[in-house]
Amino acid sequence: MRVAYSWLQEYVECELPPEELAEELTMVGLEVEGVFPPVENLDQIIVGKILDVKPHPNADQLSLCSVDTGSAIIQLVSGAPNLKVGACAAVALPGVMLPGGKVEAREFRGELSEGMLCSGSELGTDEWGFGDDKGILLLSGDIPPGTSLDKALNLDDRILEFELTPNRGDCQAVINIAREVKGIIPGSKLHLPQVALEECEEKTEDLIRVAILDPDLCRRYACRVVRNIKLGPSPAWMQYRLLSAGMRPINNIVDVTNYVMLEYGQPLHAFDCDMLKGRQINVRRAKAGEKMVSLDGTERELDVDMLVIADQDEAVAIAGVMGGLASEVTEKTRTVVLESALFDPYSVRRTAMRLGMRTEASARFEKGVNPEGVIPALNRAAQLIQQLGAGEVTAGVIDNYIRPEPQRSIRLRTSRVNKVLGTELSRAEVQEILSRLDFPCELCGQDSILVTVPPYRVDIYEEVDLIEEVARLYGYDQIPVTYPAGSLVQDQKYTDSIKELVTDTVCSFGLDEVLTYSFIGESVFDKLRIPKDSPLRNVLRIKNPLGEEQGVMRTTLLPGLMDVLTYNYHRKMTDLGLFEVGNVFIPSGEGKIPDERLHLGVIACGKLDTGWQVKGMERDFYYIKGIVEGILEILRVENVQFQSYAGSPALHPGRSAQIFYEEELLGYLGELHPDLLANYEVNTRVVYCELDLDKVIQFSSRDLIAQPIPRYPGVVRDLAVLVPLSVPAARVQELIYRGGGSLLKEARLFDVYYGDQVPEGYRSLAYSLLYQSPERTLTDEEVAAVHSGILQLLEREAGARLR
Amino acid sequence: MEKEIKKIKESALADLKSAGSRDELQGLRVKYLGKKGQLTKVLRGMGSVPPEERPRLGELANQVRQLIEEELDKRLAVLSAAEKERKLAEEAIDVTLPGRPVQIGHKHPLSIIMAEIKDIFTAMGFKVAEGPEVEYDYYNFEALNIPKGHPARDMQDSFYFSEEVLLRTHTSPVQIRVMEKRVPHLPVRIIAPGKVYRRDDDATHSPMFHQVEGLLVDRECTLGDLKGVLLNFARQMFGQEREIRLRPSFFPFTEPSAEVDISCMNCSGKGCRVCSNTGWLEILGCGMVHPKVLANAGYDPERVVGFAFGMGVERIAMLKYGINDLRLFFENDVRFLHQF
Ligand SMILES: [Zn+2]
Repeated sequence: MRVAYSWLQEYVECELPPEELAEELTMVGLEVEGVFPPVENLDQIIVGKILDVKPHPNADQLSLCSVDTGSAIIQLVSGAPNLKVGACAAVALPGVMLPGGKVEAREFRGELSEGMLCSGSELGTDEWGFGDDKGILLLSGDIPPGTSLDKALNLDDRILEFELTPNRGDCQAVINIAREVKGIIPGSKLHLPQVALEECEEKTEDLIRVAILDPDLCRRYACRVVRNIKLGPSPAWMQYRLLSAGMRPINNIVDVTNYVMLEYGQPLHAFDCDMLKGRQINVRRAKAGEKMVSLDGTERELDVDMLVIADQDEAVAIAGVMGGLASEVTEKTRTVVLESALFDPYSVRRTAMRLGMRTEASARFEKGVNPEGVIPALNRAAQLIQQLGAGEVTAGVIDNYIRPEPQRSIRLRTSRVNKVLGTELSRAEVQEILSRLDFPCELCGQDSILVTVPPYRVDIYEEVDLIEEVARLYGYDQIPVTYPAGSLVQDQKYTDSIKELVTDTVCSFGLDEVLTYSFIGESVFDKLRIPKDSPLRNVLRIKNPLGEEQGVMRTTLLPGLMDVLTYNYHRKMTDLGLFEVGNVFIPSGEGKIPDERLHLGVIACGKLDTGWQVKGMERDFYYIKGIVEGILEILRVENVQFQSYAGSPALHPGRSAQIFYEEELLGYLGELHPDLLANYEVNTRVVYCELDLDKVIQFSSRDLIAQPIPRYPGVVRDLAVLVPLSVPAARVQELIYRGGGSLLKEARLFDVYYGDQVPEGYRSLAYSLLYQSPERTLTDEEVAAVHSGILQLLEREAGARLR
Repeated sequence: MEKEIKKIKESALADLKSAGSRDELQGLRVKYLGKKGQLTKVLRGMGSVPPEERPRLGELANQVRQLIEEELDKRLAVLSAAEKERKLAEEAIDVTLPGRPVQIGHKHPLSIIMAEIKDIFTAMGFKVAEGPEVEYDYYNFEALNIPKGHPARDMQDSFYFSEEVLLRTHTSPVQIRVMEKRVPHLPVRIIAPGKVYRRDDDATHSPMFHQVEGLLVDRECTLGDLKGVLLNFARQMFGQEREIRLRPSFFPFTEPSAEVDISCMNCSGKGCRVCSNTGWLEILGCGMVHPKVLANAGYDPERVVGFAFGMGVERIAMLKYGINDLRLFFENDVRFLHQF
């Protein structure tokens, strides 16, 4: 919504400069986004009087003008055909900025021009009706040279651009903005338009009949008729106000309807009465398949949920949205029907959206217009047409008001105001604040005020709405700063701390956290070699995605992480350790919200940082396994098994594992399959792991009991065995612990060796075993017995041999 | 004999003075004091000395022995100190060579900001709560006083899965979920960080972004309390010299509602490019919980009052770190991530 400051001043006394007024309005909730003059920099252009015009000695097309600028007489070179001695023209002196650039003094074929004579299009005034495309802008009348052009053209005004919140539909009307101005300026008075009509004898009801056939979508329909129409342009002041609001002047009749819409917030429409067949207006839903050409010349296909204005045969307007071409007011129009109505906000909104035509009218109906403003606006329009001499108003109004608006009275408790706002206002202060908005108040009881809500305030229905009015006019900045009291009860469980713990842990392992979109493209499953029957392909589909690439909710973090890895890899950052902690979405049935599971995904490639002493280690399978083990240790999940896994086409069949806690699958890790990497044009080994954190934390032993520090020394013995390649290390480890019993505290693998001295089909595993008892110092004999017991067990169960 | 002893003394002291190493000193000890050493030899010849001379000469020899021993020890101490010095000097390294690399992981800037916001509010007594990202229409709109047909529900603003299921467009549904669980107990005092989604994708909008929601419901709680909490937040987050300003605004689920600005930290409120010359930067929306919302969650709006606020994490991060391109957050270029 745009309003000229000068227009507001007509309705309310306001001494505040426009910029300050804008600030004050913003602070009561009518946000002013911008304050700007109708035309920029016009205050720097001056009026100059042309004293003399002579031909340029060296150029046929140019003239030399001697111009009085009020402070000097200067020479200007111009090529304009309409130079006239004695005329007043617009002069831009050197240094002034025009839309086309900065004005400078320069020579034209040897003759100096100390500035320039400007045309309307050069100044930007032509859009405001000032300027002639045949040449420079000449001003009528005798204006003292040196006067600034904005004053000379009456454009020394400011336009306030409002960014209204959706509840303040009432402020899409200049008079209601004026009411807000009155509310913030103490002691100011409103001067609203006074409407008085002279009606001719002919009766309106003899000229047109109205029937509301679908009263659920139209609760009030009123009209007047104006005859003997004299179509022409509207006066300059009206055109200026329309332009300042961003509307294009058309003709006096249409301009009046638009002007009153801006003024009162009530959209109006003018029909050519003779084009309404049967002189009948039917307000009804469109028929199935019904079509109508709207004012903009487009044929519109209507549906049965849309409300139309129809004559006895067919639709002539889309109610509240746009008129029809057939009944448009034209040169030939002799009689006009002026419509002022109340259409259902949701219906107008839906229709406008469906047809893709948001208009000034629909924007107002959507937010609700004043039910009691229908007739005043109609009368105001009729009065203006009459005043402009554009027609004669017939006798009487047709007004079908099906569901009149009941008067709203709300009880406002002073105590409640103070309870919500934290203020200590007295009832008299609250009443004073409301009276600034002209809300009629009546005291009741000890504490309350009975407030009558003016009908234009369609946003106020209950006590809290009035509390908001009090708050914003009292001033949010006046409300004291306090701090809430109250005890805290800790009874809400949340996974947030787990998320943060995991994030911090993985960061501490040297990986970088990333955040990727929760939606992915379904085609990525093929790219990732996810099998057709994989449960990962059971996805939640967005009905209205931004694109196919963001069409479904992710069921794994791999696509996002793979994209990030690829993005960086292709920018020559090839040593990467990245992770994400986020939700995946598992559908749980149509119409239900899905199971959201917190996952951790880790992806890595290249080497760890290399220094001058150390060569960076590869980020390989064992690197990522170390990370998984580290996380599980921090989360205190013990006895997790890693089982070799060749079942996923996305993974290297020989370098992947599933992670189990007893029978529960917690996740997987492994090298990504080279064919998958080829799909991303990534030319290096990449390792990946994904854990279902919601599952992992189920097995976390959160209760920690500290163990005493051993009082008796332990004994360390190494054990190196040759083990067939078919026996996994985990099995050997398990046997060692079984054989070691309670005396074996720890078995740590410190070497894996193939090659010389190791027979074909075997590998050498070397462990460092710590024997310790909490009760006594172990003897060599005891240790030797257990140690050889372990060896025997390994020989028997795993085909191992002492190395 | 006395002469001989004195000669030994002179020669020993001279030898000691010129000894340059511990080995040499050891040699001198043997040479003079050892079993076959010079002084020992002289003492052995004591038998040929007249008896009345013996005590005096014995005394003299002992004095010389003591003197040599003392001098030996002194010299040894000097030499070992020098040797230690030399050894340490030889061990000197180039301290300007870089250290062995430590692998440092970086948290995502949005994670860092969210953690900071959580820290500030948990210190003020708010608990962290969470809700699902895929929500029912009821929680996302209906219960928040956004009825069907309301502009905020346009298909173009939300991602839908079915008529009733959508990606939450704000973290506000967590308000309802938490209150429903907690009713009739008081107070409710939570913040809810999380991902939210809107159907917008351009230079200044991302279809997924992050919000932190706050809610306090209690028997007593005022707009003034809300101002206090937010002022504290603004100062903790952006510096103690920050001021805040509440501008009346509109949200369907709060009334009165406000947009909150902080004084610009770039120009301290004087006006600059960052704040479009207003001196203020908008950081969040807030208000007193609408009675209908309290009632929807099962509280009696006559007996309890509440306030709520919601902020965009990206916005806070951009202001705090001087980031001017939203896309950087989701591009995850490690050259960006490594700065945090
Ligand atoms: Zn600034």
